This record gives sequence, C-alpha cells and structure tokens, in this order.
Amino acid sequence: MKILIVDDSKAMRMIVKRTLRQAGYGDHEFAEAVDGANGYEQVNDWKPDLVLCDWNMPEMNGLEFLQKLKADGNAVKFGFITSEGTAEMRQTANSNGALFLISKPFTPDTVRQTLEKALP
Amino acid sequence: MISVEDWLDATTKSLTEVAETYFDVSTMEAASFHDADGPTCGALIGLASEDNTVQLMMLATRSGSESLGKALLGFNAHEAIDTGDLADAIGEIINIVAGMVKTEVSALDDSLYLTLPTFAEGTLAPIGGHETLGKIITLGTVQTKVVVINGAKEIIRKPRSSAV
Repeated sequence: MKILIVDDSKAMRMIVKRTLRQAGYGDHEFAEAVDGANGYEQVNDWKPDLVLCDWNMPEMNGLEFLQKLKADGNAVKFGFITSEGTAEMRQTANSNGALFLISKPFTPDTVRQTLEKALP
Repeated sequence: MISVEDWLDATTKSLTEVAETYFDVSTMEAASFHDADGPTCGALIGLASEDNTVQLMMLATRSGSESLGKALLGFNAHEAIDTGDLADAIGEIINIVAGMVKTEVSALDDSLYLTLPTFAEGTLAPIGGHETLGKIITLGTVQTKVVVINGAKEIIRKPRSSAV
C-alpha cells in the first residue's frame, strides 16, 4: 500500500512514519507532503492508496485538500491525523468523506486499531 | 469566558499526556526554574474566539529545548539539531498541546480556532493589559515553563494560591 503523509511539521511526519512502522505497517511505501497544495500534487502524481493528513496547515489546510479531492471525484482513502479532535471536527471530517480522525498524541495501538477498522 | 487558571490547568494536563506518550516520561511541578538565566527558548500558539483570546507558551533553556526536540525527532542525545528542526519540533509540541486544550475546553467554548505555532528565542514578555499565569513543569529531566497569556477584553480570575 502507498501511504502519503501530509503535515507541515517535519517532526510530525517523522513521528507518523515511525508510528506506522511500530504499528506493523513498515513494509508499505511512504511519501511525504508539506501542506495540502503539495499533497494534492502528490496524490495526482504518485497516486497513493491512503492519505494521512494534518488539519491545520498553511497554504491549503487538510479540510480544503480533502474537499478538493472530492470535487475532482478522487476516491483515494483519506484520514486525518491532527492535534484537534473536537466532536465538531470529527463530524466535519466524516461529512466531507474522511474515513477517520486520529487526534494527537497517538500511539501505535491507536493507529493500528484505526487503520484495521477503516481499511478492512 | 474561560479563566486563566482553567487554561493553565488544561495546558498542564495536555503537556503531561504528551510527555507520557512521546517522551515516555512523567511530569512534575517545580517551585522554581533551576537555570539562573531562566527559560529563553520555546514556542507559542494562539487560541481565539469571540469570547476568549489566549496565547499558550512552553519555554525551556536552549539545551532543554534541544533535548526535547531531539527526543521527539528520534535523534540520539549526542547528535546535533539545527534551529530549523528545533523550531519545528518545539512548535509541534505546543501545537499538539493546544489542540488537546481546545478539545478539553470545547464544552465551554466550541468556537475557538487555533493559530499556527511560532518558535521564539530570547526574552518573551507580554505588553500591558494581559493577564499572565505560569507553572514550572519538569518533563523527565527537562524543566519547562508553561505560560498562559490571557488577552481577552475582560479578565476573570479564580482565587488561587499556587499561581506562579
């Protein structure tokens, strides 16, 4: 599976990759993007199977990125990994077509359980 | 409006969870900062709505910040960390803390928005009209100072004996 990690923080991209490996996803392919605009380019060029995306980013935020993909009719699997996890944001994520929202800080167990449920 | 004490409590609780999850260390409150020069390096982030406007800051010494940054990035203790990576890592810590705080206080204010984090070095001091409250929190062996700057138009305060 090709997994695109979109986050403006290099530290968080590293943490997400490290956590995915710890969660048992180490043999998958990873690519990174630094914001929604860069993520959009990579989705079209690299064609990932799953996008793991931060919400609060400069240029194009995660929600705008997801909405742009949906407007294009792109059905790539999309989940948020974000520092904000209010009920309202979860509802917004869900109503815009995100499969899940993992709030930071997260553990390998959280990530494994969420991905197993979302990607049967 | 959310009191500055409640902001600080939510920030401290969130920082404790981040310390346990990402650094595998517990936190402890300290009475004073061990370094005579005080904390000079850290990050701040804003949370704002029509009713509430605060800045959350987490400060440490430069070497303390470097220790936290290296731990977050998975560097060895002897590896060097440049200022760009340090700013990114420390900014991400306060970003995660602020996101958790936003969730924690959402029952009191569900219209808050979060700014992007800012890294800063040197002396950081709010300019008049703000109410400031802080605590010294030790993460493992690194002392940090967590500060809430309340910039709301009206300030409310709860009685408290342990304000720093």
